[in-house]
Amino acid sequence: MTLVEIELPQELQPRQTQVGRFIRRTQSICPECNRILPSTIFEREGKVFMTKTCVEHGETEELYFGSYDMYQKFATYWSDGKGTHAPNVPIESCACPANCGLCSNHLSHTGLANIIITNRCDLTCWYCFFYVKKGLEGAYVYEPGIDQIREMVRALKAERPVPGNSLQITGGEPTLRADLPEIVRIIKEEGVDHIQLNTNGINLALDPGSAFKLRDAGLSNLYMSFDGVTPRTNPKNHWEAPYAIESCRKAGIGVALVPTVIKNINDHELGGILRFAQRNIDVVRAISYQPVSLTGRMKKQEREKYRITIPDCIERIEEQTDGEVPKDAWFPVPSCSPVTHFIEAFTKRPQYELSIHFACGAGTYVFEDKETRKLVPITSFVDLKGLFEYLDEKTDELNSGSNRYLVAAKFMTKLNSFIEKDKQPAGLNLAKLLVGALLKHDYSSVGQFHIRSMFLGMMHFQDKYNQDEERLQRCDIHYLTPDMRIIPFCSFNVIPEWYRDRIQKKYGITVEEWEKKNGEKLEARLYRGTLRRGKHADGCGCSAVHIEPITGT
Amino acid sequence: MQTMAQKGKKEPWAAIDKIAFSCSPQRAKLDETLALTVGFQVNGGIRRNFIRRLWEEAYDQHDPGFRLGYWVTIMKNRPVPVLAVRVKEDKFVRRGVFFWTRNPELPYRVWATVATEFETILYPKTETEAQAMLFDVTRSFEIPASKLGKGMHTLEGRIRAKWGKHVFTERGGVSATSSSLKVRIV
Repeated sequence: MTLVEIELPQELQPRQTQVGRFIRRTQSICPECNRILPSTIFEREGKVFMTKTCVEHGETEELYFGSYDMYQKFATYWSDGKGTHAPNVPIESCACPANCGLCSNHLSHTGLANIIITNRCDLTCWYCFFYVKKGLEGAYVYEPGIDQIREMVRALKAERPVPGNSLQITGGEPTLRADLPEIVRIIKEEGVDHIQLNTNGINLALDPGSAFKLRDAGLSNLYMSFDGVTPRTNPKNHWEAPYAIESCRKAGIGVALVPTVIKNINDHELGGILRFAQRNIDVVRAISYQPVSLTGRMKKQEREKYRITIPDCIERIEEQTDGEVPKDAWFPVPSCSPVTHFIEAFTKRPQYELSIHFACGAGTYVFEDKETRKLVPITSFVDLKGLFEYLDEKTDELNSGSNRYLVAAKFMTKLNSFIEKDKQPAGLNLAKLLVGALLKHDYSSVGQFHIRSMFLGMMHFQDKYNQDEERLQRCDIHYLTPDMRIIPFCSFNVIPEWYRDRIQKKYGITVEEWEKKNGEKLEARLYRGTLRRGKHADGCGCSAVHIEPITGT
Repeated sequence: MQTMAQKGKKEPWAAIDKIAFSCSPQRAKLDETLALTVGFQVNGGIRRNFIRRLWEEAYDQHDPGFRLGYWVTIMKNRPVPVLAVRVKEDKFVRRGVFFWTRNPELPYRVWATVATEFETILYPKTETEAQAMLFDVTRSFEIPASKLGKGMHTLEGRIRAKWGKHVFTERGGVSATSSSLKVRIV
């Protein structure tokens, strides 16, 4: 058969109605048919949009980034990573988003690997697409065995030049597996240093002893869903979260709160979530705000109702904290590349690098002032931009053959000049911590960094409407699968029919088979709301939303 | 394979050319503000080597950027040159960032953007445009005439550029001085 190229008649030519300032061209997919489409990123009225046109399904215009100014600032930190030297899918030319796993064209090594240990859940949230729903045609229970898990972790550790070293156990609800401590132990045994558990926290709230078991097995921290500070915004675990945090406090496990942010649903409580975390700053190490990724078919009007992007969340946090955490405090994730590059040039060894696309994520650090109890962002006392610039300069010197000890000495002498000591929160000696981490590789000192401090992060996972191949190619949050592939998050979940569903079907069993094998009904493990009766727990988030910023001691 | 552009005979590897130094007004009252502009180009092999083929070669060796540090200093001259006084100094950086492009209109895998001091990013359409974004500089300053004081002053712009070693260039630097300008403050 011969393929003949035909020219489409004018009325069928893809039309794009982009009105605004052109920024760049990229590739995306049609949200209806997954066809790869050229797309345009452009600015209009201070916001950044993406537009793409499918010959069959027409034009899709979507908000890409809520602030053009922030887009411009973030884009200057663009830095492509080292990629993987031991890809599982060797291909000649790029075929994103097909053939993910990782392919030879992927530009970031695994920053955080996800491993799904079950797709069962004890909740049935209407918006969630991660759990097995009984009664649906083609519903499969996916629970890889211990040996499969071990092999998957080995695939992660086989990555080069930087073996994967950070792993998240996820689900469904992973605490539903009775052998969870055993799974943590195996992952640790295979040499993974950082293990976090993505959970709703309910089972840790019900059984505080399980937190001790998980800690002893090697769990580093909890990555706990927490969508708001009222039962309305966080029906998932509003009542249980304080108990889960208490379990972690007693066991000595850190907690990261993970709100999925949906416009018009919980975007008015981002400051409240931060205040709740501040009240638990001895155990809450981070908040990872995740602007919603819109799944399923949605009309433009509906998408506009729910769509929120990183700059929008950052602006709301500024408003809702009365400027305590301002917009300027945030930097894109790849802004830490100058630090990595400097260490690489100094040690002459490839280092762990967060080389995702600048539009994927952002972060900052906040410290609690002991006296005023106000939050002090790191940018209040550190000239981060100047520091990154200086590190770039020193990296250039090292790569040009300068004596590394001389450069290190210069760096240490200069480091203090980027820190305004009088504005530093009491009890913190940042320069000392940085020197320890950068030059001595003493990462235990980084742990001290977290004392009375929190990392605030943003991670905007893509969906079919805003999917950008440039972002996908740089994704560093990956999924380990039993076929020994390592699949980028935004392929795995954005096109589930090619990845997630297919894998879970292939390696899962039907609900009926699972019930027969385990002698229990799938719904038997659903949470019955034991902790929702009676009064709210002490320190329950409800109180945080009504109070003024914390002042005084 | 030849990896670098050949240096032509008698041609320096880098030179600062087309220096334009202006001051407006050149006769001002003590309470007025002077607008000074320094414009120049960095030319030579360093500029000619900033081409797509070498961006790609550098990118493939994980050398995905080119950082150029600039210093522009306005000096007030005295009869003895070593006693010249620094009136204004501006240090800034421009970075060429090589990246794997997904622009379907570009028939290349690797392209470049130019970032200025972590403030803004520019997307060139051609190699020549990329070179201009990185190597053509115009800096403007405003200084109060009172900073110079009453009398006749001779001003000049001193320019310096510095870069590190990359796949397409050795570490290097270049400097130049503009012609001088007479400014009278009354």
